[in-house]
Amino acid sequence: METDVDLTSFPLKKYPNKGEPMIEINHDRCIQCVGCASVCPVLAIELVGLRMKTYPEKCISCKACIRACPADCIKLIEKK
Amino acid sequence: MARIAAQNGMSVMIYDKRKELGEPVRCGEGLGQREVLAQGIDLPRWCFSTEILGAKVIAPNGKSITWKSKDTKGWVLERKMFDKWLVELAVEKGAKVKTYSRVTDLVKKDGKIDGVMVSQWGQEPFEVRAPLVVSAEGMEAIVARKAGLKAISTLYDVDTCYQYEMKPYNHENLIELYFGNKIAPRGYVWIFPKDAKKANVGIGIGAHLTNWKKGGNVDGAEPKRLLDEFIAGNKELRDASVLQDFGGVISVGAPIDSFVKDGFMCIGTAAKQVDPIHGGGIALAMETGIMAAGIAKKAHGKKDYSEKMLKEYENLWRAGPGKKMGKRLLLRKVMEEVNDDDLNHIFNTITDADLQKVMEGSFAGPVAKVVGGRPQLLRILKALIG
Repeated sequence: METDVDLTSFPLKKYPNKGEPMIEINHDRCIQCVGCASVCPVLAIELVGLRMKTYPEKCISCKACIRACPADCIKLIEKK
Repeated sequence: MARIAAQNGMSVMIYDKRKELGEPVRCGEGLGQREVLAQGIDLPRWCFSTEILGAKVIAPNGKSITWKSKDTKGWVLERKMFDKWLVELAVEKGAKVKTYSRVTDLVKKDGKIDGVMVSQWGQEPFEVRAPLVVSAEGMEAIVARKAGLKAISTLYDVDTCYQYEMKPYNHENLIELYFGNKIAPRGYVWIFPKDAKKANVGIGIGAHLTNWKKGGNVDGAEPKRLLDEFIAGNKELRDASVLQDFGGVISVGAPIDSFVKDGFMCIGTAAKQVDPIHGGGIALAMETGIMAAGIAKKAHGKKDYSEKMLKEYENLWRAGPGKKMGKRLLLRKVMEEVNDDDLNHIFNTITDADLQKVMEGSFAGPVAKVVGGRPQLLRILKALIG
């Protein structure tokens, strides 16, 4: 589900997510810079150990992580 | 902050979620000398790659201004070594550190922060009680956000950055900064000299920009592509080897609205205490750490870790470094409106002495010079002398 989120608003609007993954991270390409986590408005990504971990149930598909990622390693999962 | 707090007799525990301190590097590794020496710290040789004598700032048309003074001296660090050394200094004063230990949540008592939950080596989290928790987490700022601080970054207020360590590159021990809306929109390309003919070559661009289709057909900011273009167009760099890829996202906006809660402080990049013009945060973080340690000592003496008590650190910061940052933020926002032709005019007009004034927050003289030659720029630049 695509949403527009005003990232300057606080608290942020959240939309229902049934826990299905919205994004996919290519860990071979990821440089663990935590840029994605820094801009995620809902704490749906975090560096755990040596990999970025996602929490799909929190994701609101705002695409901020994709837009900010300097390594272009995050992909939006297209819903069929 | 840990070093000074331990020196002041406080019991200090540092939890770092990395297996190795200083890794991975997400930094250009530049550090000004003035701020470090002012803190009485003597940097050991093995913590830095090379000394910097000054800066060369280059306009879109290639015109450059070289700025060398005692204020522009510094180092390009080896962050892996530097970060570890800073922690070792704290340990020498009595602080303890645990690596591969991630703070997963805060512990609260009567609604106030009273400690943390820590997961070591990926295992089940355990509770650690503490009257004062300090977030020095960097850009991620997860714990600061869980504490209720607005430590999230918006795309507009961050630059997304990519960097290579490259060799060989012949340099003059000057940091080189390349500006231009085509080269690096809302940012710049940097070449930071390192020893043995190496250099950090990197780019930062506004993360809100949309210069490329990224994963899944999303319009986003792609710094690596612009960096590769820059390198391909640079006679010396195009044939150089890449020794390392790194990158990150850095705040170039205002600091967060509040730095403290009951039993909680947020310092450094986690609090977005970063220079909005050049994205540097190390010196600011070190200066802030000293301020925060001073107030933590007071709080410890009074056994009062309330927000009201800790607010004194924030007030000190906003009255000092915060004011300078405010001017830099204004400059950044004004410069976003300037096109490459106007930027070339600015570089043709100002001298290194003017550049020094601008970086110190004195805009009137340089603005008058620039506007004298191109009056239409007053519309944009008047905000600096407002």
